[in-house]
Amino acid sequence: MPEIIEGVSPTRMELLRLSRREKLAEKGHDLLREKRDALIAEFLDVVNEVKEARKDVEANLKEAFDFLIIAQARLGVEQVRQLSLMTSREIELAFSSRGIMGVHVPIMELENELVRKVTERGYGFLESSAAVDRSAKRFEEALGKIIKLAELEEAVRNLAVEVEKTKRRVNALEYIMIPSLKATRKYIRMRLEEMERENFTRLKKIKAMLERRER
Amino acid sequence: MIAVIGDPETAMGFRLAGVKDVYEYEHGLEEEGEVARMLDKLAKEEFAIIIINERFAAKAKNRDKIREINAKKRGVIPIIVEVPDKKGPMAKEIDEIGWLIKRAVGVAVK
Repeated sequence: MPEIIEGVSPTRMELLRLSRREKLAEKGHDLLREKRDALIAEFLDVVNEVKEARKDVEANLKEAFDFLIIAQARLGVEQVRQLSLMTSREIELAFSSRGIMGVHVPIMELENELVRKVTERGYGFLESSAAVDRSAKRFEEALGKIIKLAELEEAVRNLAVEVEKTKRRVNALEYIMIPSLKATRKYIRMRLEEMERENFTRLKKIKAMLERRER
Repeated sequence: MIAVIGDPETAMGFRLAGVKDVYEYEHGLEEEGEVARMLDKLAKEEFAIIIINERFAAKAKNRDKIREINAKKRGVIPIIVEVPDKKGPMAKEIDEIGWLIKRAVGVAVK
């Protein structure tokens, strides 16, 4: 049994106010329900994208590690480590965000090309080998994909939070707010009817008293 | 803007790709709580993306730290991404995405 809103006076004025509120709540409920459904659809889409992206990253990294191990076998672990220390550079990311129904989803833009030419990596040809180049290239590709994956995973997390919030609001309206408004309205109507009946009997009684006095 | 926490191979690989901020740890040889402290530090230094090996992320202390960072952050950064190491992807005992789906939709969707 839904709770009656406390402190309302059983008047016609209040009854009118309540039915206006109820209409508003129902409108809000419909809108939020639509929002929730749209969010869930979007969420599931992004979830699929994340799964794809993750698989892609995993495959790419696996290749990269395979080449790295070959490179290590050819040149020795220490030599590859030395080479890897020579290749550092600035990786700049530009941030922006996109809104999906009020949810901020990050977009990251690389300001420079991730995959470099062999000559751009900074180590010499003599001390390196083709396997090092291949491995570096795969890792550069993987890095790009990881950035994309980061974007998507963040989107999924934010969307999930928003879906939950919207669901909670829909439920609050559906199961608490609207029923309690309905119950209060019913209570006031019944009180008004009751008062009407009281008045009716009171009038009857007075009429009877007046008639008795006249006789 | 991008930082990597990983085992020696992962570290080497991402260094080859040109990432500057690479922190290398050996499994089992790192000091107690060292990786978690590093995560904290990187988050405070406002790195945009922190790439960490799944095997490191799966350790209880680091897992808690990642949750804490995710719960505390106000903007979009840092984003922590877990990647497999040379042994390939781990079977995850906690499937984050699956858990999110369950919470958002109410049922597990495959």
